[in-house]
Amino acid sequence: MLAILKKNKASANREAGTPWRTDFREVQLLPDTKTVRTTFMVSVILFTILGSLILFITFREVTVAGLKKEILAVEVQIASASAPNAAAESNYKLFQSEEAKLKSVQAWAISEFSFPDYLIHLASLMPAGVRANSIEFRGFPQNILVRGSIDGQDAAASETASAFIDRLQNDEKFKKVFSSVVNVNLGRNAAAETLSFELLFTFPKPAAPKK
Amino acid sequence: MFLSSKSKGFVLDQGEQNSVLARVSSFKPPLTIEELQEFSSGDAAALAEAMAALSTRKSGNFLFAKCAISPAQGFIRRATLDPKRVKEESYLAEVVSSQFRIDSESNLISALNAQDGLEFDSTKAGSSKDVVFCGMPNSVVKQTQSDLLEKGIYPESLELSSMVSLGALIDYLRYSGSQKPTLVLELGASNTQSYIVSAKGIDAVRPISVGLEAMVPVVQKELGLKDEDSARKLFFSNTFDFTGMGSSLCKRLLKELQSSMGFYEVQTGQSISQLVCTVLPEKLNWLEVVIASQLGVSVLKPEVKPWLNSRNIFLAPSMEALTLDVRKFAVLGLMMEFSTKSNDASDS
Repeated sequence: MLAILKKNKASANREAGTPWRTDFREVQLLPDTKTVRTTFMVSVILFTILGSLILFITFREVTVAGLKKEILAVEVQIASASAPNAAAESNYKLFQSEEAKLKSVQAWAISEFSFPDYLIHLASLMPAGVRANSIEFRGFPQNILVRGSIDGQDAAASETASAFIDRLQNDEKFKKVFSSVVNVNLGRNAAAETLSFELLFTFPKPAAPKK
Repeated sequence: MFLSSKSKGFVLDQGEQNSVLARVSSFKPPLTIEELQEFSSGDAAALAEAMAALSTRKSGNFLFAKCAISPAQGFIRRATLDPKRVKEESYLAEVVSSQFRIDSESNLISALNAQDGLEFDSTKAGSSKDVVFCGMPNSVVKQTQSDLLEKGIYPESLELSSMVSLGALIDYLRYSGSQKPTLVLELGASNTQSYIVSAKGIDAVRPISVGLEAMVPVVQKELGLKDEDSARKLFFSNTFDFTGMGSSLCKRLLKELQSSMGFYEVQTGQSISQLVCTVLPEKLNWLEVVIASQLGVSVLKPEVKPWLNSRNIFLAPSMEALTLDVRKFAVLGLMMEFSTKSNDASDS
């Protein structure tokens, strides 16, 4: 048979790309001399890869199972701790409000403000003809409302009122204690022939309690 | 390395008369010829001895060798194909059958381009119309493989010794830059193969049915011997100088060769100026000179070592003294990877 017509035959002109060379062997009649076949090597490599993959997946599954157990345990712990936690939260809110009050009282206690001193100083600043009818202390750190009257209803009385208010607002002692001194109401009392006024002494807002 | 190929190999050329076994550092160049032993073909003991000397293989292990053989039924023929019919499926079988009377069913045949030596491919555009058919009977391949395995040799390849030898000679002509057509003779016992090759490939192939045995009756007659056996012994022993009767001995062969040469020269317009005998018993070396002088051509004496070096084939220091002549071209060709270039003299 012509070797050139038997392209599929292993023996036919194996060195076809080499000039003047023709291999006439009948390869299928030759013994298999490879100690380790390539197919065997390929199988070994594939089985090694498969084994490694199985080991990796098994290890990962075991790890996942362990993590699931831990999650369950933690969930049980969370469920058992939720009631005490809610109580602790409400207690904490209560504590925060109480703390605010305590801090307010503490601020009051340690502040430089003294009500008797306030009254004496206010009296010392009052010009003649000015009277304080009532002094309402609305609690620290809110404010103090002073209601009073000034004799007369004329321009002199108005000037006296303005001067008095200016004096209060520019007083150094009051500046230290109050954030503002404002005249919130000014009116005429025809029967008594006086000018009535209402002065609001406002304390500065306390700093927000730290959380 | 675990999957690496065998690093060292062997090359075995089983010629008609002599065989050569060589150990090489690698099957492909660059390689070094480490050992080489020559012995008579058919001498199984000498082959076993050479194998034992050259290899350290364990018993039961094969010796892996590139092999070339010269079976009596092996053939190399050259044909010019009809370009109109090359694509016909049965055309090549028809050519070998009708022109050479070779049965394409019982033989393993390869077709090579006569110019570049590559496998003939009819489907390739511009493929050569000059083709060299070479091959041998399937039964010879099977028997040879079986014999080699029995001797502990695993054939890495199995080639025709003559084809490899011609390939090597063409490669040498290309290396040397020679443009001369060269007459190549394989003087066998019963017939002679003649080839005309050049750097451009195989130009002519002609089997001549005159061999060395045909010279024995002439020796008997010329020397007046009683029987042919005595004449044969005398002829092949090289104990007598036959140079004087050379022309008488080769008369029939010379006639055939002159006819071939004349035909070639008329056809191509080129004259053959050199000759080489690739197959010839060592004791009959004088025949080569006689034939050359009778034909009026010179004997080609190739400078083998520089050529081998240019092909990345080197001799081990212990092999430097080795005589490398054209008779070893088959074994050297097995080590080479021939180029397809038509002239690579400049490479050297």
